[in-house]
Amino acid sequence: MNRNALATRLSLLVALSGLLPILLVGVFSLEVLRRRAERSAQEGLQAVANQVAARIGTYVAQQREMLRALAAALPGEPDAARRLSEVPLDAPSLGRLSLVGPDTPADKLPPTLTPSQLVQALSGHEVTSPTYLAADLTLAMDVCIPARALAGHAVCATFDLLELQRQVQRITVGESGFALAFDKSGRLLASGAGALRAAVITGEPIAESLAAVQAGNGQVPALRFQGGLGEEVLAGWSTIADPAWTVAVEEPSREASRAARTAQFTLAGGAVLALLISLLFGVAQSHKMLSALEVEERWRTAGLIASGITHDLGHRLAVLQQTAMLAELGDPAFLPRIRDNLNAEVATLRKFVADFADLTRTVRPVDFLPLDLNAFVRSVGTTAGPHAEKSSVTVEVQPSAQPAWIKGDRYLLERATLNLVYNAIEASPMGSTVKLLVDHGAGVAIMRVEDKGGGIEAERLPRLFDAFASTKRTGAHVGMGLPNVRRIVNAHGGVVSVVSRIGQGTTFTIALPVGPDPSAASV
Amino acid sequence: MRYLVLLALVLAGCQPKPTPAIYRLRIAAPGALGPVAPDSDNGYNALAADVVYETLLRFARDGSLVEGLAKRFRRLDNRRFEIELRGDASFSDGSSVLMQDVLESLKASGLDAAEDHGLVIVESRDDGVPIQLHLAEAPIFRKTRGVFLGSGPFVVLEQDAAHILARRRQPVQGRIGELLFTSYPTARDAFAHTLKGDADLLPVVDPRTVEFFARVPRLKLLRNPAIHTFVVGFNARRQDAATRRALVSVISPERVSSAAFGEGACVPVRNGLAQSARELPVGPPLSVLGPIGSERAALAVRRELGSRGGEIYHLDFASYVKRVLQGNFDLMLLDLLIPVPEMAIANWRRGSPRSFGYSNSIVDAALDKGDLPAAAKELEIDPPAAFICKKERIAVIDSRIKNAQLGPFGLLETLPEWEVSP
Repeated sequence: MNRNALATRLSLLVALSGLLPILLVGVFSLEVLRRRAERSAQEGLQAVANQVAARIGTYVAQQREMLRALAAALPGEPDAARRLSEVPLDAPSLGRLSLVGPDTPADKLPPTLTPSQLVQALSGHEVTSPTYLAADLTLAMDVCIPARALAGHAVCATFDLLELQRQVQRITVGESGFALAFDKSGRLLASGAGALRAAVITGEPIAESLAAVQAGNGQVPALRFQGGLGEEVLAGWSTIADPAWTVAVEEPSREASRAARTAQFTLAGGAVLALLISLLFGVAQSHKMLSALEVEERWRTAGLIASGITHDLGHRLAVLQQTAMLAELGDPAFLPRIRDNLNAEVATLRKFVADFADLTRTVRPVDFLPLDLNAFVRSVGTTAGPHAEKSSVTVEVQPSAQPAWIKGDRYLLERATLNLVYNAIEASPMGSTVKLLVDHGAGVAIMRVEDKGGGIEAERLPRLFDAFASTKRTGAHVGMGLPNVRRIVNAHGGVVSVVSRIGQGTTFTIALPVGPDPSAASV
Repeated sequence: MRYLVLLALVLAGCQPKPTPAIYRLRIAAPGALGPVAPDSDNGYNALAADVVYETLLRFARDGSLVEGLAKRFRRLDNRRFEIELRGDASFSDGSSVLMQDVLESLKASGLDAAEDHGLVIVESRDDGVPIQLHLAEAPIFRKTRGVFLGSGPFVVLEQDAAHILARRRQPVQGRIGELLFTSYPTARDAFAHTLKGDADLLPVVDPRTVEFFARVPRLKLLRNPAIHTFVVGFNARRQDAATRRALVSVISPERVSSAAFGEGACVPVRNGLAQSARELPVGPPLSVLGPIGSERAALAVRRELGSRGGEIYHLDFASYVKRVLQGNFDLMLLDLLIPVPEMAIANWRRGSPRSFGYSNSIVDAALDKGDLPAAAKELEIDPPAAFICKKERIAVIDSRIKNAQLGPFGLLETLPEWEVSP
């Protein structure tokens, strides 16, 4: 993973871990807010519907009271009929007034009252017609009140309900909320929505008509539905006994929850913006921090290397200095010792240089070639044989029954495996055996290096593959061997692990992804 | 290659411009439609006639006369006009409007007309109607093979009882291109279909129903002064001048208009006589005659009469007219056509179809002399009617029409100038 990717990942992690909880809490709160806003809007609509219904009821009750007063007072007077007819000039809401008796011609009777209703009226009962649309397209209602002072007569009026129509039409809720009034059959009587008003004239049912009938029959109508204007609405319903009307006050649901929705969109936008800013800022800062860490790490590495080199080369220099002092004595008896010392030190320094050379070689997947681990371990066993012999240790190679193909850089894998084998030889007691085994796992080919040495202390195991963590200070051991093994194996997409028990030995396991079998491909 | 590029440019330049969409104004008409002809005087076909036929002169909004088919005009005396014709006028078939067409058209409208050195001399017959009203009402036409040709901006393409389709002869960008009158069985149907969006213009709307159009974004209300004045006509044969003066003084235009039509629906007019608290002389009850629909107005007028208020008669229009012509009434209610102030005086000339039996030789003599102030003064002394209020013309129209106005005389006569928003 390069520095850019690491910086982005770090920033994303920090940004999300900071932002997500806030976002979740925000979304939850706003959803609660939206639902509350809707409920509150619904309650508001219900309150308006109740107010409208109350106003309509009061208006009709007032007209009725006025008519009762007239019916009680006027019919006994000599010019009652004429005075009654002139009342609407001062009280237009009473429409047309007339004194009705048994001899009243049919064309002078209230147009919508049935004969039986008229008989009832003349025999002392108040009667009322349903609301209807008069010839001038205004709402009207015929009402007859028995005339107390003139037996067998009634004062009849055609209530002019234009004022009620106006009241309903003028109600607005929010930006586009409106009121509707229906009769018991669901016929629209007045509409605050201009687009629905033709139904007042034609009597055609609208989307709300069914719910209006339900409300009129005492059932609970829908409070949220697809309205007559084609969008989802919230509604409040209220019914009136006199006149038998149902009032609906509607508001588009989008309008009722607009504030919460706006807040939700703002939060979402803010979150995205915060995330972007956090990422941009975080990536820049991560870059700086990683650079600083890298510089520090380099210095620390340089220090470790310097420490290792100083230690190891210091030891070598001391040996060489002693050898030089022996040479200065000019005593031929020391020559064999001088030769052995020089050979040993040169070999050690060569290994030292080789270890560093391994570190400088980068792993490039494009250079990978198919490699059979069985053949590979045999080769490694052969290479390690002389070194093992010197230590009186035997190297035993155990290939797997099946070919174990992988793809890799043979040189680097050999350096890594030899490192483990040499370590195993050095750790093994004389006469023991170091085993080099090949096995198969799930999608991986496995190499194991087992020794029967003294084992590694448990506390050392977690940092065994860290650079410069070696505790061996004999020979050229700057602690780069095992870290280099891990570097090489990881670069091949594999994993290296270790199991060790004090007094029983150590097993290093390298698991590498299985590669294609070249012989199978060629077939 | 250079020539090819040049050719391409030339061809691109020659491409026809996209034809602008023709705006069709759909007009809701209650009842069956009659033919659009010069003598269409009632019904919605007469509205179409307003834009199919032209008149020599027409009324401006201030009541003055302006040129129609005339190039210029001069009033010679109280009954005669001298008119020079516009040379560029043509009928809908492309043929020019000739002197002969004009003379015949004027004669068909009851005017005497003759040519004098290329000018038309028009003279009204002695029917009591001011000549300028005749001229504003007389369409110029030519009858060819049973078809009436007009010189107006529109020509009728199709017509039957159910619809009339008229198209503008010369399309004008941003103006109405077609008129489609659609007949609906009743006024209520026409009203409902306009609300529904099936029509763009409902030419006549009752003031009590205007609120139906509130918050209907597609439509807007048009309100313009009407050319009719609501009056209470007197029967000069039954009431003497003193009684009629007393009637004028006791019938309050403010009270009657407010009670009859509601506040603001009809603008009260001032009668010549100062309103004083005079009482009616003792006498028999005075009946009030009106057509069906005028009940409230009749009640309001009767209340003004106090103890002399008599019976109220509401009759269907034909019976009402018949009774008026018979002189069988005490007081009658009517909407009197008064397109120009002068008409309020000239209407009472003997022989006028709208004088309803009123006759006053002093008024006639003053009118003959053209002395309107003298005639007006005499009408105050011997009043034929009490002027109550001027109603409004109300229509609803597509809100995209920018400068629509009704009138000043024919309801849709200014329609050719109405602009349509894109």
